[in-house]
Amino acid sequence: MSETRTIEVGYLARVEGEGSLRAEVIDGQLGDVEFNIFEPPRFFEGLLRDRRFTEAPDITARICGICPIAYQISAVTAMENVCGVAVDGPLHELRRLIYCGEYIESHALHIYLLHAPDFLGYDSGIAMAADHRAIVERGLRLKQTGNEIVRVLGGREIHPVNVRVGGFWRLPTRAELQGLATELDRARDEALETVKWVSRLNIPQITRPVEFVALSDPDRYSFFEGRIRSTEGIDIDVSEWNDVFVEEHVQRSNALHARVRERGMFAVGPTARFALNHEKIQPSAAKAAADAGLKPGVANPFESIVVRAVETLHAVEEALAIIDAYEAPQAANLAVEPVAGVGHGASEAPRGLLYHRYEIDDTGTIMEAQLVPPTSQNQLSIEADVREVLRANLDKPDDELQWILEQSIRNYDPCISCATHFLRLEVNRV
Amino acid sequence: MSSGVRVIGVGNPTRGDDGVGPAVAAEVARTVDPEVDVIVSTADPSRLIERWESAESVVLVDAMADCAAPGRIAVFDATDEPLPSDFDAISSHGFGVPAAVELARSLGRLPKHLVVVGIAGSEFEGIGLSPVVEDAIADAVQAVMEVVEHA
Repeated sequence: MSETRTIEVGYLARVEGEGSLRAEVIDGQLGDVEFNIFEPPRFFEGLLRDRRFTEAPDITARICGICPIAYQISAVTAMENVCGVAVDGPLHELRRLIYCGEYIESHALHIYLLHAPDFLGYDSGIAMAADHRAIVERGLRLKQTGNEIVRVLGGREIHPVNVRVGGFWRLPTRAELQGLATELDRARDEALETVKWVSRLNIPQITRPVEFVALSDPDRYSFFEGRIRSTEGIDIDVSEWNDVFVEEHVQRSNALHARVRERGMFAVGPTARFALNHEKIQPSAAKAAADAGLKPGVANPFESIVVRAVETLHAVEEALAIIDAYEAPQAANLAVEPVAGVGHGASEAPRGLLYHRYEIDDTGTIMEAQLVPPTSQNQLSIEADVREVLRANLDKPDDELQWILEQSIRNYDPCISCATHFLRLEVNRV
Repeated sequence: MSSGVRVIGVGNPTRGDDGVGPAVAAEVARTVDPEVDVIVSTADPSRLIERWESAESVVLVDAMADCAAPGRIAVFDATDEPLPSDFDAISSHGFGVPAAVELARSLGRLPKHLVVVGIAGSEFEGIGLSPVVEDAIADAVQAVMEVVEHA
């Protein structure tokens, strides 16, 4: 008689949105593994149609409470792309600054309250806080520094409103930036301590080589600059995303699954960025990474928490450098007139590459929208990790297996709410 | 009435009935003793811990979703007990008011006395409160004032 073990996590905790996991082991052999997304579809691509091209940053920012800046920047760069306007100089640097805020805020939340509890044996950040007060307080202060940058540059912390096509609605004052610099000076030590702390966690040793994909730029650690590159040789302009990658509907999931057309699964996110762009990271972050024993191209997905900490330190240093070099531009924004055509924009959200494509007409009305969030690009890789982790831990009892499987999903900091924006309506008429 | 009482209206006025916390706080500010500090928080709930720092007694006013008839008012003393889990209905990225309260409890950073006044909402879209929630403001203000007077 065959023996079947089923590991089921009906509702994944400490991820954004509604997802579940089901894995089967039959007679000691791996069966099906399914990372299911049952969060209802949110139809954002559909509701962007017939809206003004200038509304895209504010509409898409509502997709996510933790990475609205990524949505805004991907949207505005796509619109500026189709309209033939380049936003550079200080306005570009201010966009990088607000992006630093989002990295600090999002990474600190994930490291301290969502992921570290897995490594330390707690079932929540709240339970962990009771035993590790000083550490969690440090995480909260760090997160609040990120929130503060988003508030000052974005107008408010949640769903910021100050980013627009062509630049910003309002420029920060010198005094506001100085206030941020004071906070960032303090946060620098906290970010460094974070790298040291996470590198000492008990990190499971599992390797699974994967093709890493990220934006890559010769001049800087890319937030929204450069070309899309991969560790397997992809090197394309952002506008070629659909030529090289494809999104597919999978029955069990309300999110599309993306893959490289020729090869299949790939991964985006901090580990991918570090693999491709580590030479451009701020020197103190590079040193912290080396001291932590981190090697670019790490194939152990459980080390993503260390990369996230290194990126947090990078973002703090980068933000300080931007403020230090800042000279106010002539105006808060450039005029952007609509031009009929197709525009492409991409940025490196905290969870990975976020690609937007819009078709607009000559009045500036959006005809078509395509939004490809990082979590849908990572789904195949998440399932492959789960399979690998299962294979390496088959001898463990179910509760321990479930623990490490959930932990391995959180390696990706998945944002399920972001992944369920698509509209695919099928009507069968007989 | 002791000093160090703070009323915090939590919510986003551009998200329908979620704006009832700030609306109640505005009414309280009009009538309450000026020594009582009344503020509004539209920020990430994890920052509530900073907002109640230095206050001995805090009254949080927030909207509730999907847990009671719209307009119903519930008063919870969270000083020693966690909030009911169904209070945690509307938040960004899974970090709502109950999580902030419990995190503060773990960190030893709760005020000495924390009461949450919840108002059940019905519509969480667009600007402005639904009529039933609008009608509940006066009772919610009364509930807040009772807590403040006994603080």
